[in-house]
Amino acid sequence: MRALQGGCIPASQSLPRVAACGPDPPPSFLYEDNMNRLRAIRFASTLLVTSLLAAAAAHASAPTSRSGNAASAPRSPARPLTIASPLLCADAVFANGLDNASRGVCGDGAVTVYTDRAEFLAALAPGHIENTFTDVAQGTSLPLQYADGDFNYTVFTEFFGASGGLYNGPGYISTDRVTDQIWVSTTVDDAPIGAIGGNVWPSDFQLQPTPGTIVLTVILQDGSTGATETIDSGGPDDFRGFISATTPIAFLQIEAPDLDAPPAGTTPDRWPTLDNLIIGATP
Amino acid sequence: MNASAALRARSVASASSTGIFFVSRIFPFCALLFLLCLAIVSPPVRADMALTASSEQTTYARGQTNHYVFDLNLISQAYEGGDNVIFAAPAGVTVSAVHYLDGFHSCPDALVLVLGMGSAEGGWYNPGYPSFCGYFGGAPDPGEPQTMAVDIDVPAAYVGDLPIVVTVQGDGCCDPPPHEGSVTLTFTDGGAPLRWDFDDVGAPALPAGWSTTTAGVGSAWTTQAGAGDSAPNAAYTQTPAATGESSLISPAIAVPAAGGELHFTQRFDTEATHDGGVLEIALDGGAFEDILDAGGSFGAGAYDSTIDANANCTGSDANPLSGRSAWSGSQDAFAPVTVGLPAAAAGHSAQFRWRLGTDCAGQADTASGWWIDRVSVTSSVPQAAVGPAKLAVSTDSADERVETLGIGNLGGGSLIYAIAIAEGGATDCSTPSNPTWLHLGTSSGTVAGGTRDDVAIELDSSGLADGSYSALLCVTTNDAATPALQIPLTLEVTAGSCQAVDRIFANGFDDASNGACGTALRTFDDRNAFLARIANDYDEDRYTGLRSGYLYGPTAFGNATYTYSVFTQDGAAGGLYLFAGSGMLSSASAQDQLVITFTGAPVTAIGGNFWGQLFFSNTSVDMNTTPPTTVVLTLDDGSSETFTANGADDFRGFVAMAPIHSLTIATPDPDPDGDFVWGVVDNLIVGRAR
Repeated sequence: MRALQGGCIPASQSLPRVAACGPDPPPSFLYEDNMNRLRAIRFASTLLVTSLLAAAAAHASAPTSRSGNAASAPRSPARPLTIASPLLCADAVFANGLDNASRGVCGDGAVTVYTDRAEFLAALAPGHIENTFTDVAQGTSLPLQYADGDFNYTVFTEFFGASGGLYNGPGYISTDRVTDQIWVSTTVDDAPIGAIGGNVWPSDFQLQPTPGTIVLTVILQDGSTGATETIDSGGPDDFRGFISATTPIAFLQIEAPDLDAPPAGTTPDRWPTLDNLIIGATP
Repeated sequence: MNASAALRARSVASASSTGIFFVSRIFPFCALLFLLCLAIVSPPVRADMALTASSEQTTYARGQTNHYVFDLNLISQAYEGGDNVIFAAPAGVTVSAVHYLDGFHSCPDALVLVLGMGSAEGGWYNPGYPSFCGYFGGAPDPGEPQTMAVDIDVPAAYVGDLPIVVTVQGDGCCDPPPHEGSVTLTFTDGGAPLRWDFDDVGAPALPAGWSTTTAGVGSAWTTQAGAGDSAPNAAYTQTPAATGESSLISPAIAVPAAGGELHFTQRFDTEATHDGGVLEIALDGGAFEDILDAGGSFGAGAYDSTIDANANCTGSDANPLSGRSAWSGSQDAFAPVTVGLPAAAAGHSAQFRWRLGTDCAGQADTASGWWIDRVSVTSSVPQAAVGPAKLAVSTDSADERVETLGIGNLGGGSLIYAIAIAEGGATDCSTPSNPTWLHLGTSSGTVAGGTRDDVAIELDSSGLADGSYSALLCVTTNDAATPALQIPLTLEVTAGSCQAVDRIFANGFDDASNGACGTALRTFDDRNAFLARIANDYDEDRYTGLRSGYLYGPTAFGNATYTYSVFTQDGAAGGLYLFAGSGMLSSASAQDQLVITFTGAPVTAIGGNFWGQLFFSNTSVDMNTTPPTTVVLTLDDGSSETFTANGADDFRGFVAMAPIHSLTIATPDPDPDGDFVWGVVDNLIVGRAR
């Protein structure tokens, strides 16, 4: 073995969540679950998004969308998420009352939340699309990029700070890492998405539905939080839909927080899971 | 260019490409300007991504996981890095794990995903491909070394060379193309036995390469579920009550140059002497002829009859095999057949045909037919599988107990063995003894290929005082790879212990045998010997293609019968961490222990690969090494096994009388550099004693 130069040698090696030190850590993909690092990245990413989105948006290239296929690696680049302008709402959390199930008002970006699929579909403008992910195979996958009708969108983990990719079930979407979120995103070059919804639930390590909580966050293209919705999920039939009155939707975040106090001998781990995604325009 | 100059060049290029990555992602117009500046001050460079590869290993072993180390060199005059490194195997062969060992990283913070584990093509992928700054650094000829380990699972029925195509897809940092290079490493057949058990297909399909033909009213061969000697399937054809024939034809098989043997098990129920089956062979694509006419011979399970003329079925109604030696009548249970292949087959291609012939009479029902299972072609060289490797028995005084030592021959020819006993604390059998409390059913024997001898170990505690008694069983064989084995045996005698314990617990609730007094723990270090001792309904988990990362609570595995959860011990520093693509279970902290708790049907047999994996070290740049590591396996009753594991092939199995509730895996000792090594498990088998 080739010795490293200097640095501390701990009594034990652990992944960073436990304890670790050393001047020359292993490659980052062994450290990708370092929660401290992850949180730092997410925080930094938020700043980065809000300060650089305008420049990035200006350079957004023409989309080269493709149908998602979990079994093959895309040969085209993943398109960066771009949002039209820097953050307009100073504090979207306060703007929508923390956890308002109806609408989080930020500037002109009123978002209506639907819990009934039929009502949601009835409220959409004509021309909506639905993705049942029937072509998705079980296992890890790269970003899934779709072009359907007027809509182009990408399904993947969070754009900044993700520690892994997707880990899908047969015909539905989930994440590889328990700490990651599912993101459904689009770009400013694409047709504006005014409505988005789907079935969401927590799954366990084996991809089976399990009791838990799902948190959905809608981010609008003005950078504001359009809505935050928390579901004490009953399973794969749980539906949530969002329609933005004016400002297009930039992306939808789906998170499954770990249980705070799982029953003794059980795991707190929960993974976000998505199926039957609906995307449409504001009526 | 000397080494330091090369290092400087690499660093400059890396810094440049990192800068390009950052700028192109964040400030695209500045990136354009940056590139323009580079173009002005630097001569044009050619980004001709290419790849060389080598491996110390040259062969593969079918029917198991092959651990290969690939020494790659990523060559690019423009220092283009690699985004994706992909390993592709032939259909049916799977990439089950990838490990990064060493190399230079262009962009160490790149998000690199592991995809495709458990399929024929997998490796590392950058979701932003082409990212303009790949994780795997490249450099001008002779390239940037990147060392990777890849696990390749080769089916027991795989035939021929094994080509592995390694492809590197560049990050696209610098035109002109190509941005992709590939190379093929071909591994040759290492001579492991070729096996088919018909269990990897869904009935009624036959395995790839197998075919069936019929004539007259003969029924096609299929696989039949629930009928196998190895669960669930066997190949099967019915015996119709009319004239015809049905043939089951194997793929072409390369017979070892030194000669080979064919092994299979069969049972049959046909109209005695009028209907029956034969085995035929065709060499190098020639015509089929009876195995005996071709020069072959039966070592076990020879033809037992002759197809005679049935007065009621003459002419075109007669059995097409009339007059030939055959298997005919009834054999209700599977029994082995061993065939010494003709000398002319050595080094040639052979196909086998199981051919059933029927005449115009008989009875067609579901009970009749011919079942074939566990087909294998081996060399003529014996291969011993002996177990248990350790035996610990505790009992009352005046108890008699019979344990079993299995001596199997996984190869061909005749495995010749002898067993001697040394008493007390002997370290070898140079001074044999015959303790009054220990007797062997036999002290020597011969085992035909594909079969096993079960040698009785008779333990008699009559007249023994309370205490511990030990002996050493010394097994010698003519298998050059296993010439001698020493099996420690301990007998713990405690007067009245059988009255004190609960007899229900002593027989493990579901023990179909006898509710024997006391306990016995058989420890195995040979996977095949272990499997011979457990029932067919066992669960085996290979941990390939799982979710990865941290797991903060007990995580469930198993099948419909045997379930278990895996986590760390109470008070552990952390939970589990499944490294992406590692194909094994591990804890987050190297000093934590893995605890496997059985939660389903009572478990009396567990086994798996246990070793120490140094995922990374604070004192070395090498990653994913497997240094010799002390592994301690502890069962819930306090029984433990301590051994030095040298790698992912180290196996330990336990077969107990009473249910095993949990297993703890620990690697308590640091290596010479002070690093603690993760204790890991793979290929865990959970079931019950046969």
